[in-house]
Amino acid sequence: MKRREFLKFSTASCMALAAMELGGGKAFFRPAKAMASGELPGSLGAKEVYSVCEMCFWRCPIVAKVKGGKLVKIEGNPKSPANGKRVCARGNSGVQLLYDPDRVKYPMKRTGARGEGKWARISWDEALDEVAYNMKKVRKKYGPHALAYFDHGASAEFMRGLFMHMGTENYSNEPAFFQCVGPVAEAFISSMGYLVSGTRQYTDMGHAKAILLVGSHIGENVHVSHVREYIQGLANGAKLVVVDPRFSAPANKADVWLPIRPGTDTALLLAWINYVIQHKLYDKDFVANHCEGFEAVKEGVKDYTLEWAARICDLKVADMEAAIRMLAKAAPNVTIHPGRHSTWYGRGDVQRHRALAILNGLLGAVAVPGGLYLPTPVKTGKSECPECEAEVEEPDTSLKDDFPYAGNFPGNPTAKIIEATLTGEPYPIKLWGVNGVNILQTIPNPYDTMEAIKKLDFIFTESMMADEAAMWADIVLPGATYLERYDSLHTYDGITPYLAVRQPAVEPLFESKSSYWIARELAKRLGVDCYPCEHEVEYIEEELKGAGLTLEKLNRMGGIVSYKANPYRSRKELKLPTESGKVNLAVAHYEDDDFDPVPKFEPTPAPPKGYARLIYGRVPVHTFSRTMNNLWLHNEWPENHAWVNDEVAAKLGIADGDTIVLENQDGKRSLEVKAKVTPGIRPDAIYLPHGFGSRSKRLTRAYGKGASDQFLITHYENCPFTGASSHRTSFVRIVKGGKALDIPELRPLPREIPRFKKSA
Amino acid sequence: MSSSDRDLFLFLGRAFQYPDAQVALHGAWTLKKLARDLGLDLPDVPEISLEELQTEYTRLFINSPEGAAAPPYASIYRHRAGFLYQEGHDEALSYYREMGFEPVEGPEPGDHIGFELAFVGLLLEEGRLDLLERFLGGHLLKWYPELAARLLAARPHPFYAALAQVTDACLNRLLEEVVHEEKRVP
Repeated sequence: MKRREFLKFSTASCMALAAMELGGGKAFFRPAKAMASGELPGSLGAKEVYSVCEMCFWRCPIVAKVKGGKLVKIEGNPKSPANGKRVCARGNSGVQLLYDPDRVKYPMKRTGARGEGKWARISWDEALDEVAYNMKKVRKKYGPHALAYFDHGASAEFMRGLFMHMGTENYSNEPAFFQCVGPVAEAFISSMGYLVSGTRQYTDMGHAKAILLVGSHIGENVHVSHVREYIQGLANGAKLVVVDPRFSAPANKADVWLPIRPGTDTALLLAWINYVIQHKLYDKDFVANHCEGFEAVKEGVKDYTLEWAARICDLKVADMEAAIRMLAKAAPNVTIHPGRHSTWYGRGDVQRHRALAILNGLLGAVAVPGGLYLPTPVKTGKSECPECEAEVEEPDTSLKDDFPYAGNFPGNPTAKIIEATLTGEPYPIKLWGVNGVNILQTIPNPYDTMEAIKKLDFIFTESMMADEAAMWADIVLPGATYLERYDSLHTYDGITPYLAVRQPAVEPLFESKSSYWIARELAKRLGVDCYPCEHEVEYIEEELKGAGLTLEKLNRMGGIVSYKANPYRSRKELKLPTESGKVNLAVAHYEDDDFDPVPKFEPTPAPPKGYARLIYGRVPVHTFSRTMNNLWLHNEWPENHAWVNDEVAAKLGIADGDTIVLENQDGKRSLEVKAKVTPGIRPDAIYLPHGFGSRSKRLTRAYGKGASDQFLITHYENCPFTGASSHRTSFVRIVKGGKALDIPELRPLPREIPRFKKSA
Repeated sequence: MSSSDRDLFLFLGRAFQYPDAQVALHGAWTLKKLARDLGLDLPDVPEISLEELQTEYTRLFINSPEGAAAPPYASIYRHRAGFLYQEGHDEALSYYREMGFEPVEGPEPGDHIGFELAFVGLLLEEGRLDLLERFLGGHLLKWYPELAARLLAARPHPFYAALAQVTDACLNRLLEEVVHEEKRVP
């Protein structure tokens, strides 16, 4: 065939082109390998990779379907005793996390001002050298505790070890504890001797004859196996009592819904405890043989009557009585759910959950079907390879000092780290590492957090998506998603015990790397002697060996091994892991730290005049603030709505669907959000689903959609036991058309409850 | 042999990749010469440091506070939902395969504009005009104009504005000539 040049260029152009080394296209293409023909449609004929989900932290076993090197579908692992072939909306949408164009693709360094969002892609070597250099420099100049690490999830574990090795006590500032489960975890450890409710909740809802949920909105927050157990219980006829100021998804299914005045739950629980004792509804045998401190509890709650609680809680005596009778009748097969997210009001949070523990004990709902149950540990081998723990020497003044029970949890109270970073007291904090957590959408008062960031010498993140935290970072490291990496074995010790392992469905995209690889490379540069295995598979095989498995064998078996559960105990053999082996109805050792062994009602300050309490929760298709930019999930639930009581709305002239702004007690305003006008919320509360209202323009879909509860939570108090930060101690009024509207008070406040004062 | 046609598209492909010292050194000058030959009236490209060029590239093509202005992947534009490794990627790879090629993927996917422009160069070199016409009409020119539009809307540094426009002119002129050639030669 005749050849000619199509585009006639001048000699100058040709010379310019000739000056470049263009390599004849070899950098772009190579000869193709033969391709299999006759491809089946959709996910048919796909390779199946057994793995474990991490769209939330419940970690359902999944099967990833891969075709031509691409992930095309995610299903539940049909062999999983927990979720079976089901995954939730988020689990399905992992495909979107993997292929989201807004992913962090390369290591990047900041080239503009901090927070401005100007970046240049750099090499891994440069990025890691920079991080290591700064960690060493800050440690040398200010001491080890000047390093702080905010982390969450499986991707964060390896780097956490490095921070520990560098000697900081601020190595694991998990939102999991200090923004979430800290108070409930402490209450049940002291009452029952084990972590009844932390990452997991050992509640046997599937076999319950009655279930009590206080503020928990299962179904709006979704852990697939939990939801299944809960639905199984209800399908078998379990009665349901829901205490919630809002007509939540479970309130919708409840036999009794108690729309309680926010902040008064402990009053209701104490009155119920008193009622159970006075009416002899408790399990006498269980209390006599398996509980400590009954008399102290009896004495401590004797004045809390249903009539008193009715006034405090703004509930009807008859409803409260019907509810507690319903629960007591089902005893011992009753789930008094301990709750999970428990950092509500600060001061009374541990005691609220203590009251729930007492109710569990009185009703004998421990280690029996339908009650709390005991975990069944799954035995695996141990490898030293993924471990990098070290003894951390506490400083003279520790950030834990004011909180006698903070020591039960890794890391330090988050609020104290922010405070120390801002003030330099009791010691300076000059470098933050952030991994797997969007600190601005998780920790109360993000304005303080942003100010604190400005004081740092250095901040880096390991991120999958360019969220608010990444925007402030000096160096951003692209972390591989759970679909692109291995992680340590996943064992579930709940009612359906199993073992599974996270395995990559595809190679990491762009230059993202597994968290193990990143930590290993950083360890080398820091001179930390950790993570000797070159590849994750080495230690996974070692761990599997202890369970009589190999990776190959596990995959042959369908990626999962189930075990027989041992959740219940006969009364004769029941011995709880407390000192006495019994339920501590009263916690004697609390007295040593001037806390009450038996909970008392301490009122939580009510909204100031003209404001309603801001409460928040979840929507079933999103996880925290992490998934709002996920295309499929965004499509399902793009923005949140502010729930406003219908009577309040009528008085303020607000119609359903109106665009409003919320303004808090400190004058901070939300982005625009639509009002959902409903009788399904009390007039003294306004509800926002959490995680929306992103301020990161990088999250191109989520940016500016809805309002962020977090950016309205500027007032918080610390739990005196654990140091956890409260999240329901901020108040809002409504701004419409630029005009601030006071919330009318439709439910008069009893005199026992003081109002919130700003200076307090 | 039309090695200058090939090299032209290899150059454009290279210029759409993350800039290195060579692109920073010769790129603007080369674009200027090409623009003049193509009769494009483009403003001068002021001198720019490598780091500034890289920062600008990152903003436009990788990650920026507004999201990358113009993600350089066919998949983004050829799929209604706009995400990576979807139909647009399959489409590109099927054309490469017809030629007996597969892209050297990693870190970038094979539907990156750099690969596609280099592919045009290689088709020219091999004289595969039939395939070239189908590739341009059925794939590359179905999405490149939107990439260029998004890029220019982001007020890019003149280097990238010039690159977008020179590429646009080359592709369109090429399509015209190829169609013409195909008709002329029975």
